[in-house]
Amino acid sequence: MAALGVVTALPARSTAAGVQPQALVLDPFPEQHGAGYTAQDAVTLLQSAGFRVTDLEGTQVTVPVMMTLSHYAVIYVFTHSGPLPNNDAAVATGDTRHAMYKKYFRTQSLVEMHIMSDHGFRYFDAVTGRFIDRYTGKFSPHSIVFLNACTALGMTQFWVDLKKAGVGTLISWRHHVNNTDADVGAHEVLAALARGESVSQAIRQAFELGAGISVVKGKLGTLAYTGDGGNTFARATSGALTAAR
Amino acid sequence: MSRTRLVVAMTTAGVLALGVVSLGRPAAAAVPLEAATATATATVGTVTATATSTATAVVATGTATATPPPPPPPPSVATATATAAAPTATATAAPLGASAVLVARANVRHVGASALVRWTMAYQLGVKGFRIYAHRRDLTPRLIHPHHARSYSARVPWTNGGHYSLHILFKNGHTQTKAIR
Repeated sequence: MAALGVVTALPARSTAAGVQPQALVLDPFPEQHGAGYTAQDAVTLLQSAGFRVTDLEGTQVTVPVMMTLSHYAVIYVFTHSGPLPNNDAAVATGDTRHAMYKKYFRTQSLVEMHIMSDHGFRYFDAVTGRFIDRYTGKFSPHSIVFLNACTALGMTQFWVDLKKAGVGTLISWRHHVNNTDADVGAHEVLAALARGESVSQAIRQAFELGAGISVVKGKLGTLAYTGDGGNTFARATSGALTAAR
Repeated sequence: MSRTRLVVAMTTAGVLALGVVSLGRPAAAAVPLEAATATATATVGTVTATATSTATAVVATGTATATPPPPPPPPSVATATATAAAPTATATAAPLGASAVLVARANVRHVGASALVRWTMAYQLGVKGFRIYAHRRDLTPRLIHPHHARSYSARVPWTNGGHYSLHILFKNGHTQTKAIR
């Protein structure tokens, strides 16, 4: 990793008892939130639940950063994702460098996605489930990944890889979601989780409030989860602290 | 599961904007959901909106109620009331999806009466095979199977001014098409 010129400000996995559990908020396309929303909403909710939050935006969301995902008990990502032919998912980062990641492209762990950004259409590096399984290390028990992006939940291979890496629960969307519905859904789910609700309860409550659904080109997308629906922030925290001992 | 979702979709289709207002967010969030019936725009700060229904939202309780559209429309008007200041913005709902780049490069070369089509795959896990088309005409007698090396070439008749399309067939039944010229 050092050879890749990693962002150095990232914390290492907690190693001492009593250390605050850590959460990661990744926002590679901060300009693409729904009107009035920013990633700060997720940061605040996670902080209110007792997490020390690392918040990275835009070009800070690099491929090396994605290698540190397993250091966190809860990961929230607002980004673009898309399906791959083998039912894996591509999850866009804010990184547009390619040559230095040749090794990962060669193993088909990284792909490029053509995405409209503030600087026009650009090719962004996107990690796959294969990348997460191979290069991010082992996640702590009951860790929660909230991937606020299109279609990732329908991609069975993506979940197989995340589960292999130790992820407890994946929250994401079936089919497409637009930015505003994604922000609204995330707010409701994270708020419920911060109140101590389980993942399945949080998603049910989001539905009851009219969130967690999105219609894109006439097709209904829904927020859902796979893995442990009884998972909570408390469980994710205790899993992380157990793993650190 | 699907029954639950259907109920949610039917009962909340007109309410999501209200939920948003109740959070102190701009009602513009409703744009995509109401796209099938109308385009809704709203500015919560000044609390004006156009939509197909009349709406009231209460910030303090986080609850929202909606009444059906007023009969007969002159252009319908929705009124939202919010007790907290909220940011004002114009919504542009955009999907959070994009396609991964599967084909790194592709080109075609005119060689006598034939065309030599060449392409290199960036990602080919889950690919079942390839076919080359000119308009709707399949020029490949047999499916071209993927192999370990990611570069491919195929000789096909020169036709359609050298405009071809590469059809990438996935094992999961989906297909992606890329134009080559």
